Amino acid sequence: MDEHLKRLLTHDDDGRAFTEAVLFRASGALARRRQAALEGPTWSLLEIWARPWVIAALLLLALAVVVPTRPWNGGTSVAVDSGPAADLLASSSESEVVLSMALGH
Amino acid sequence: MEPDAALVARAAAGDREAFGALVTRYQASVRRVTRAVTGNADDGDDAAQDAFLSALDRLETFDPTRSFGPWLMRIASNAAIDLVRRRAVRSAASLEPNVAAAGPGPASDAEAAEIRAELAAALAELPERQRVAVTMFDVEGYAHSEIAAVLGVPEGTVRSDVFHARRALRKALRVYGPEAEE
Repeated sequence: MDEHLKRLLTHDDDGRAFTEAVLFRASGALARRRQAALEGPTWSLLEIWARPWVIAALLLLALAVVVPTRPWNGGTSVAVDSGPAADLLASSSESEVVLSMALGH
Repeated sequence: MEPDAALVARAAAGDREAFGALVTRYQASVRRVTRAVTGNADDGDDAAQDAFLSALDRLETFDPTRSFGPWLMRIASNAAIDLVRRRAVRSAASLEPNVAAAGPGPASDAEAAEIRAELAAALAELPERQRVAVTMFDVEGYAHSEIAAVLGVPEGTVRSDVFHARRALRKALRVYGPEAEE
């Protein structure tokens, strides 16, 4: 049975035409592989290893932009601002007194 | 003869001659397996071509410490099964005469032609996995363990597939006695 099966499944050609057909269809892929081999693996390795660093750099840049706009030291600035604010409030009160006196109230 | 791993390395760098040598070396085996699965010489060749192109695309996944044949056969059997499923609408009845007529035996040998026709019909009746298993075992000489790796099934399943496939083929042929049963 094995011999019959083998004869049944074996092609009667020598495979040259088949090989040529495969090589014809593979010519594009082979050319791309040759091109990649000429360029070398530097870029692909760089791309692989560079990705985490590029992402990390972008994250740091984003943090650097966002951090100054956030009120991380809000308590201190309130304390610092309380002086001028109080002065402004006081001057405002004085102005009101002067205005009241001028109007005769 | 240049080892497969060396040819694969050269083919991976785009060496046409090396890839051609691999195709020449394995085309007969691959075409027999794909033909067994598809049940048709033309479809078998289409699947075999797809398999070689797919193998070229995936050369980086080949482990050079292992055999190239089983790795390629896995791709080939999958390509053939995919093709059969894509063309499932085609009637099996129209395929069987093509398989029988494409055999390399002498056309004048009526008996041999009849056996081949019966064998082709019986083969077409088998499930795809059994066709691959019996072809790789009985025709290509692969071990059960290698076929199991190719098909991604346990070795016992391959043994069972080969057993059932042989039994079905012998039953269909009716010319092989039970003494041939392994």
